[in-house]
Amino acid sequence: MNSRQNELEDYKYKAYIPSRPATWWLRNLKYFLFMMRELSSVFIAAFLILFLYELSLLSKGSATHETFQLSLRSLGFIVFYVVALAFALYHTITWFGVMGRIQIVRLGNLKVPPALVTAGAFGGWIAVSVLIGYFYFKVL
Amino acid sequence: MSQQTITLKVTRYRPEREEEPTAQAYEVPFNEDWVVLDALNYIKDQMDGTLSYRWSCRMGVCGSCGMMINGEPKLTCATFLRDYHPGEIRVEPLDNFPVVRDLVIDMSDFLEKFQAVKPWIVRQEEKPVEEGEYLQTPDQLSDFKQFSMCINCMLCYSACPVYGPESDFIGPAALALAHRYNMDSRDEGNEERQEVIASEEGIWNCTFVGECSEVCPKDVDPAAAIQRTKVATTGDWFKSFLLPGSKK
Amino acid sequence: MNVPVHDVLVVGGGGAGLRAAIAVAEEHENLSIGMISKVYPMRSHTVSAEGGSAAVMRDDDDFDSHAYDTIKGSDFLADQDVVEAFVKEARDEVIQLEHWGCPWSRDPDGRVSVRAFGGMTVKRTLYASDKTGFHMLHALFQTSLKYQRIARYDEWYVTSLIEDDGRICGVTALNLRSGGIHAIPAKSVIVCTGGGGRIFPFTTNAAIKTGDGMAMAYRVGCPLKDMEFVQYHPTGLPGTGILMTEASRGEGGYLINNKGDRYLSEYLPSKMELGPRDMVSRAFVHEERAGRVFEGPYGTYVHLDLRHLGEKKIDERIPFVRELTKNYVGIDPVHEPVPVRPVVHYMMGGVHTDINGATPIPGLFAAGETACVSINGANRLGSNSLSECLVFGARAGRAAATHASEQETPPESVLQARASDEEQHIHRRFFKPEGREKVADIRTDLQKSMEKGAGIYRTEEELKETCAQFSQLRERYEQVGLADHSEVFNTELTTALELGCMLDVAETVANAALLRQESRGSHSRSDYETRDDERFLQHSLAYQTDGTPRIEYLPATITRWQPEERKY
Repeated sequence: MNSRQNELEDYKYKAYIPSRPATWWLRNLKYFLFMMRELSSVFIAAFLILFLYELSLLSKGSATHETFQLSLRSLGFIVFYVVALAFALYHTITWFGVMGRIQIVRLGNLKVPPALVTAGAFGGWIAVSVLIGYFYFKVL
Repeated sequence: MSQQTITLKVTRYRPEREEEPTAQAYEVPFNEDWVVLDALNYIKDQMDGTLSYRWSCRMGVCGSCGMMINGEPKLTCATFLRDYHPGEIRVEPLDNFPVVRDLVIDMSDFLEKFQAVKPWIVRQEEKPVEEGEYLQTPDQLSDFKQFSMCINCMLCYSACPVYGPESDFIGPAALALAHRYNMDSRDEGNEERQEVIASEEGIWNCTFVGECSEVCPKDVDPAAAIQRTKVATTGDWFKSFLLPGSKK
Repeated sequence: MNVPVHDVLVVGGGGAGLRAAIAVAEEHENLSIGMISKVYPMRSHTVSAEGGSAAVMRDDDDFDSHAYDTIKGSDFLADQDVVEAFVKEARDEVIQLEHWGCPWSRDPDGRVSVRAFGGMTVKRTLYASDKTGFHMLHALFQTSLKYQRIARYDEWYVTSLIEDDGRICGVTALNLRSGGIHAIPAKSVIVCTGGGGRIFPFTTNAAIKTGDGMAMAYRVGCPLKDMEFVQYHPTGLPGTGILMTEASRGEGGYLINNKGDRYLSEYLPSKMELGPRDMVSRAFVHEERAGRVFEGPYGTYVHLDLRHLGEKKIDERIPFVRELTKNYVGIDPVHEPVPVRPVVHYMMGGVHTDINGATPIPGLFAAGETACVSINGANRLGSNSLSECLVFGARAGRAAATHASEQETPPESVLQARASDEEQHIHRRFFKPEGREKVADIRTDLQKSMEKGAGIYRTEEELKETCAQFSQLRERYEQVGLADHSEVFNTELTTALELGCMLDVAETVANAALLRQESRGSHSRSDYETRDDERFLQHSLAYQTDGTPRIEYLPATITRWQPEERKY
């Protein structure tokens, strides 16, 4: 590095190194929300594991699957699923919100403004949800 | 009408005399047009000449005067007293940096990382000056212009919870600057920068808290720069598998 | 401590200093380069420059036109041979900077854009929106990082130049971090420390512009040239003095008095708002005397009207102006006119150098605002200064490198002795137990005195009064005692040292102004209202003595353009 200032002398007095407490993320709302966003992935992962487990039970016969499904109606699981859904929604909304900034979308020569990219993501989400909902309720 | 006042609680640190920083209160005149820097200058000129801090342009372009104001990293030349009056204002040195003296922090780590990302135009072949400028359309300029507006004030480093006094994280401003050069149509140094940027200490250490962009006084949006670099780097990585012959 | 011997040592890390260091690094592989600055280079005042950098770029332009505009702008005091060289080299320099990454604003076809500027008959000012100095400085600093051989001493305050056997062989400098004073040996030294606008109370200049380099050169016997010429930029925000770039007028802005008139039609019927800065600033004073200006809490002002440019043009060409006015006066120029008044901005004068940046003292070079070559004469045209930093920064770098290759290593004993002398001197001087005076008080009084005597319009009486105050100010300066005796980052000490430089520089300004009994360019005497080419087509040279500065004269170099009446 070009800067020589620190090489030429031993500084008699060291600089003070501030410490960071473990509760740093409680300092302001934005840090707190960030930690919640990170925490959301734990819940989403747990949901996916449960879902995969549930799917694997299908291969063991509909009886085993039914028993497990019934157990999911307990208060504990319902609370878990509600919380997991809230976290998943929070994660999705924040993610869509920043999409326009992360990926520049071009249509020909034009750069799509970030707000439109976000709107597009939400639009796509709603469309896919409607399709799945239709498929689930009407077809199945 | 009597002169209104406002109290500033300023961090003092005199390494020759004390182990740790302490806070000192100063009551200064309150003026509608004054910024925190004006109050600090008043303290130094009239009340306590021993207060040390950095400042220069007083118009938000040199990047010298970054400090923590009530826990938020800000430029003291662009932070008005009237937004806090009559409450107290806490003035502390920028977070995440070693403190040399009072409000002055050690920025040598930042400079090292700044230099490490090779923030200059890298080209295989230089065009002779006689042949004129590299052509660059306004559209191509706008691809990187925003990221060239960084004044090196380091507020983003203060806001970043990943960066800290002993962290290896390259940091928002340096990574945004690397992105600025990568996106510059005249530059061919993308590959050269990858080793430093796409490393553990580079973009992959970033967890997209996003605070850096929130505090940036020049709307550089370093968070966006880092995430875009992540996308680009990942894309390049995939391409190197699927299309091994093609150059970046 | 083992300090290496540098072949070339650049003092100051702004536009000129960085350009000089890069020039040496590019062209001499075996020379050791040092760059020493009291602030980190990206904090240098070059960063605040906004408008642009001039060069002959287009087919409708030619060197003679740029040269003539510059010479006429200088009120014919510029050295014409130097101007001719300058206009020829400016283009290559701005293109080189473009190659180094400077984000010049572009035309749709991809070529660098040019805009109109004050005193220029053709559009030739390149710009990077309205933060040209910022982008230029950052491009230069970032490019300088490519060259590992440029050893930087950031936040080291140079206290003096070291002379041995009639030549400069290094500097003494205070390491701000540790408080130690060290001698840095160098075979040649280039001073690029900028001007000294802070000797006035109302200035666009940053805190660091205290004329340090000018004072240092002055103290080793180098004359300061044309110091009386201080430029008032017509449009600064009242109170803070923050610069409203000339580009706002270049893009079509109007200056309006309290009657709603574009008053410049009376003084500069042809160029109007794009007249040279000295004339536009004087026009304000005339309007003020006639009572046609607005009154405000920070003095009188006129309006800079940008509303007719429209939001799109403002955001594209002068976005920084919009940002500054919104932040600092709460006004959006798209909807309201901006209050402005003339503000001290630039010093045409400085360290006397030749066309290659060499001073009369062997081993000492200077470039940028610190130097006076002179291309700006009695008044500088906007956008010539950034180009000047590049052209003469490079020239000074090359000249210093050539000089260094012919020198012996400076004698270590001399340097060590100087360093310890300097350290003792400073400690004795400023760390006295009983100091009665405060730096800030003396500084304020100096500024007030300069504003009164050496402002836009000067008279013999007021200048004499200002000149007489220096002995008293210096006596008070002797009585300064610092509250801060710390070794670590003692900024009270640096402000005290800066005040010493300011006193030296201000004294040359006032005395040179007193002796120039004419009005030329930015130096306007109410008692000598006309230009006197017979007596004063000369540069003033101020030499340090034990008392008041001794002023000598040096004729300006005329090649092809004879002085004529300066009308716009």
